[in-house]
This record gives sequence, structure tokens and C-alpha cells, in this order.
Amino acid sequence: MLYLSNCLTGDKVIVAGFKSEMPQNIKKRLCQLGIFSGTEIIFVQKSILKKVILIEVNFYMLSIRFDIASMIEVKHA
Amino acid sequence: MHKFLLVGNANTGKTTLFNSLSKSNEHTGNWHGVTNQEKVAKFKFEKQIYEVVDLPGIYSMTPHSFEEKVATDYIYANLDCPVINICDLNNIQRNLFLTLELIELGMKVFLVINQMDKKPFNNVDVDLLKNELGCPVFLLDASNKKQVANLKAELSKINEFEFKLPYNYIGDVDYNLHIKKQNVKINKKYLIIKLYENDKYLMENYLAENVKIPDLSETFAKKRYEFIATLKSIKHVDKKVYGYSGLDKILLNKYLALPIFISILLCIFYLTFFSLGAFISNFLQYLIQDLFGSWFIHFISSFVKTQWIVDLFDVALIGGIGSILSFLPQVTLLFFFLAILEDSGYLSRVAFLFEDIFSKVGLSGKGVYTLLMGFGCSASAILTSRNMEDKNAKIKTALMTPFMSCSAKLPIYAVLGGAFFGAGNVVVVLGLYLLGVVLGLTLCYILEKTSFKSKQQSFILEFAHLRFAKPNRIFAIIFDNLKQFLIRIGSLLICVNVIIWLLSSFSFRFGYVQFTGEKSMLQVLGELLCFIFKPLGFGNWGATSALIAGLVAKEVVVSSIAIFNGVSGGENQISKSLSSPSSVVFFTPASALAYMAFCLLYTPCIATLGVLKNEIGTKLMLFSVILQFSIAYLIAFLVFKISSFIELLGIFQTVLIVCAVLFIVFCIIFVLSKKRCLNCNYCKKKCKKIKKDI
Repeated sequence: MLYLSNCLTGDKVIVAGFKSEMPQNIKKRLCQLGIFSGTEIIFVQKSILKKVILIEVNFYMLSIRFDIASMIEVKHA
Repeated sequence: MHKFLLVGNANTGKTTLFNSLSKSNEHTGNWHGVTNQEKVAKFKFEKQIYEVVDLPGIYSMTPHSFEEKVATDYIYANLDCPVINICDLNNIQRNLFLTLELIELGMKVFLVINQMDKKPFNNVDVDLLKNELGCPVFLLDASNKKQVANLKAELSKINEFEFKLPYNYIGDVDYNLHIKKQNVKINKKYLIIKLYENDKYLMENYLAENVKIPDLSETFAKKRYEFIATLKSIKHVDKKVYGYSGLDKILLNKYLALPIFISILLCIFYLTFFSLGAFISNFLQYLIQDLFGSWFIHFISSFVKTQWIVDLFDVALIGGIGSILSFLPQVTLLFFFLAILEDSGYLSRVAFLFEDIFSKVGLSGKGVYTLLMGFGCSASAILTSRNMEDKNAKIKTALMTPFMSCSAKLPIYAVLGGAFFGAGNVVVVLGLYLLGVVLGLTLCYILEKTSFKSKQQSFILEFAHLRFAKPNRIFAIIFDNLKQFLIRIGSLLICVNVIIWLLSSFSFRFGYVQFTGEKSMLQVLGELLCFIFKPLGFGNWGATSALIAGLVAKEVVVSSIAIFNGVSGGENQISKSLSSPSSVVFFTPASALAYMAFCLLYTPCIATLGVLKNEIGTKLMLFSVILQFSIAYLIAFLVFKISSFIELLGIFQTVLIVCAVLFIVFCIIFVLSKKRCLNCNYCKKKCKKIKKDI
């Protein structure tokens, strides 16, 4: 299974689901921001120490922690 | 009187609209979480008075941070009030998610679409959107006075509008769900949806005990977004990536990002404290103290013959207050640069860069905003810790903030540093700011590893759009901060200065000490306490009393020193008086450095303590007071001892000795870190080998 954290800069992926370990409050926030199964995401870049990633979602930019991204299952668009 | 609640996503221009509606001057910024508590103001339209409440930004009615909780609680408590829901046209789909939740809640929603970049509005079919959502819709630029005036006219007609529910995109819900309270004010369908979304607050209050329901938040979110995607009225809105520009490739480049940030900070410090700031400050000082001051004292002494009254005006008011007022340009410059950083959208990039470091100490990158605001005013910076998702992260951020050097400490560095370090004061001031940051983060690291471990945080942060900072916003931020600075000087500091002058000029027998030669009241009290600071090198009563007075406000430290040394000629004269042993307050270079370090770190002012008490509670506030005093004492002691050593031996010898000590310490740690056993007094591996040989 491919996770958002494994993506490379410029990768266009579609959210396939969330790992069961994903904290519920964080999953809720992601859903409120429009990230749920079927959403298209573009991986923009990782931070210097690779703890945070920058993604493009529905034409806006969002940064999320790497460990959260590693719980978002994706597939290539 | 009608009351409107101003609700919307973060950074959509709520406070800008609030200011335009009510002609207020509340702080705005290109950052998520500038507003952290509700703000109320009034506006008048055609003889009718309306009240408008600005709430912190929210993405949904299910809160995720403390400031979001403030907003949702306020909405639930005022369900009868109409809502001005402000949306950003650049990101309309996501913004409408909240609009749908508010409509589901049964509120009277007045949708205002804000176009901040002044693009043409013709991409949105307003009439169609009105029909699709069943609520009034208005397009405007929140900073445009004419458009805001038209909005007021529309708001006054809100009761004439026929609100209706949009297409039932959610479908039917299970009304048989067992709800604890029967007389529920909240719309029942909304309540059931939110219970199925597992909204913590509503579950605690409304769901019957032992009832477990699945979390369907993803399903409902999908339904709302699917409905938004079907809206024909916004189909032709320009779809362009918002929040990322070509410049971001440089600002976030892995090799350039940190050097760029450090260069920006160095430029700010240099321009504020030294070149430009120092030049304007010296000019203002000349105007206040040399021109106005001498004329004023001449004027006073022409009709007041009592010497102590003339001295009161000369030393306590012209000398004390003037010494603080002359730093006004530097404080203004500091706020000017902080405002540019804030309004340009660069702070969300900084938060992204520093999340790596901040996550190691259990904080979120969002703490960068608090940290930078702490360079302005600790009290208002602590309030920004509300944007943290976790309680422990909020506590750590609040405890860390007073370690940042606020603008009130700036005169202390300028006066003491100017007296003893001359041009080298650039390095000293920068070192002090850095010391504050390092100690603050170290404290957070220790707290994270001991009793305040943070829960897993998401650091879900929307990138603000990078833009040129707007002059009117910068002016508003500077004006607001300067107003507070001047109010403090005009009220609190004048009173404190007069009290300090009276206490330092009169004895317990009420004799004027200049004539009687007795010890003043403050001298007697100061001499009782100054032994505490003797190990730090500044154990004279004047320096001790100035520190105690600084608990009221840190600006008072310099004005108190000016009063004790009887100086009325401004920064340069105070600096000169500090190196003279005949002065009440005098220092050596080592003790001056220790004094500056102590002032940086010791117990914050009363205003900051008040905010700390409100945000983290009395116990933790007292913990902060004791902790900061202890750390300040320890660090000042070390600074004094090391500086004295350097004074005594010279830099070269000191560096040699420090290297030698470090080498010895390193050797000891290296040897001790080797695992030993009692058998052979050597490492385990070797011991086993010996045993085998035996």
C-alpha cells in the first residue's frame, strides 16, 4: 500500500483511505478540509528535516506532519 | 438591537470586515489565528444601532483547538442571532463547508463573499447562489468602504429575507437516536448529524449514557462537499492554486530557507536597535530632554520655589518618562517589521520550517507566531497560544513566551549595553535574544520529557497567500501597539515613577534626603534585599530597587535607574552615570551583562502574569514566577562569573581555560559512559573475554 508520506515531489495521488491508527480528531479535521477517500492531492515538498510535508488540495496549500501523512493511504491518479 | 455574529474560516478577512463595519482598529494579519477571543463593537445604520461580534476563525462547528472552541461555544450560546458568514472567494468550495453546517444548525446566515485581491466578481452568479443555498449572498472587498456601506443596508433588511433550507443533500437521519435532554435548543437534525460525527462537546451534553454510535464524519463531509461541487453558481470561479507562488520555491528551498530567515532577523535587529532606530531615538531624545525638558524646568522653576517639586518634575517626569519615550522610534520600528512579517504571509512559511525543531520539544510550528509576537509584547503573545490543539502544548507555549525578550526590555539593553559595550552591543543584544529563545525551547523540551507530554499533533496548517504587506494594515498594527505603549507611559509609568522618586527622595522622617543627608525609604528597603543580588555583581540598593519596580512594567527599570542616579539628560547621560562608582546604580562590564541577562529572564510584568493566570491557571502562573526567577538568578550568576573571568584574564586565556575544562569534562563523561563491571573494573565485553579465557 502506498502512503502519502512515501510520495515524491510532484506526485499526483488520490486518497484511498485512512489507517485505523489515525486519531479520530485528526481524521475529522482532514475531512472538514476536504481530504477523504477520492480526493486528489499533489505532493509539493518535504521540510528540511522531513518532519512536515506540503500538499496541494482543492487548489489550496496545506502542511501536515509526516507521521500523519504516513497514515493516509493513497493511489496514483 | 440586532446582534450579528461574524463567523468564517481562518484568514478570510473577518476582522477586516469587523473593523470596516464598526470603524474599529482590531489587529488583523495574514495568518491563521490572529483573533483568539470574541470582540464586540457597534455600528449605526439609519438611526438603528447594531452589534457585531468578531469570532476566532473556524473550519467547522466541531472545534479542533482552544480558540475554535471559543467561537463554537459563542455560536451555540447565541443561536437566535443572525450570522454574517464571510467566505474567501479564492477558496470558496472549502469555505462553503462551514456555511452548510451553519444553515443545518438553523441559523439565519448572511453569506458575504470576500474578494481580497480585488478580482472581478462576475465569476459568481449571486442570484443563483441565493436560490441554491436559501440565504442572502453579498459580494464585496471587506476593506472597501463603499461596498461595506452597501452591506450595512442589506444587513438592515435581513428580517425581510425568506430563509429556506437548501436541497436535502444529507438525506434522512435516524430520529430515534436516544438524546438525553428533551428541550433541545439546537436543530434536531443538525444535532443528530453532529452526534453521528462524534462531536465531543455535543456527545457529552446530549447523548444518553452508554449509547455508542459509529463515527460517520467522513460520510457527512463527503455529502457536503459533493453538494458544493454541484453548485452551478460558483462553477466558473477562477481555479488557481492559492497560497503558493514561485517565490515559495526560494523561501522554502532546503538550502536557502534558513539563511534567508536568519538574514531577515539580523536585518530587523540591526535596523531597529542600531542604525536607523538609534539615529531617530537620539534625535527624539534631543527634542524631549534637551529642548523641551530644559524649557519646561525653567518654566516650572520660575513660579515654583520649592526645590523638591522642581526636582520631581526634572528627575521623575522629564528624566524618567523622557528616558522611556526616547525609545519610541525603536519600539515603532520593531512593530513595523513584525507587522510586515505578519501581513506578508511569510509566518506560515516560518512555521513550516520550524515545525521540525518545535515538534522535538512537543510544540507545534504554529508556536513560531507566539514566539515572534513575544518580541513585541508577552501578554498579547500568550493569548495566541490558544491556537494549539493540545492542552499541554498550549501550557508549554504560554510558559515559554515570557522568555522572549519583549519590547519593554529594549531600553535596558540600549542603556546598559551602550554604556559598557559600545559598538559590540550588537552582538550582546543579539546574544540576549538568542539566549531567551534557547532557554524557552529547552524549558519546553524538559517539560515534554517530564510532566507535560503533548498528544500527537497534526500541524494541519493552511498556507497563507504570500503578498506585499498592505501599508494601511501595517499602520493599524503600529498605531494599536503605540497607543498601548503611550497609554502605559501616560498612566501607569508616570504614577510608578512619581512613587519611586518620592520613596527614593524622602526618609522615613519625611525629610528631603538631598538636604538632610539621611537614607531614603527606598534605600533602607533596598539595602535589606540587595544581599540577594551580591553574588550576581549588582548588589547595590538602586539596582535591586529598579528590579523590584520592574515587576510593574519592565520599562520602569530604566526610568528608576535615571531617578536614582538623578539624571534628566536621556540615554547617553544615564549610560555615563552607570560606570561612575559615585552613582547610586553603577556597574562593571561583567555585572552589567549579568544585570541584562537577569532582566531578560526574571519574573514577567503584572500584565503578563494576569494573562498567564487566565490562560493556564494560578498554580502554573506561580510555577512560572518561581521558575523564571530561579533561571534568571542562575544564568545571571554564570554570566557574571564567566564575564569576570574574562575581565580578569583576557579573552585568549579564558578561551584556553574553557577549552581545557571542556576537554576534562568530555574525558570524564567518556570514561563514565563505558559500561563497567565489578569483576575486572573494565568494560563488559572485555570482562566476558577474560572470563572465557579463565
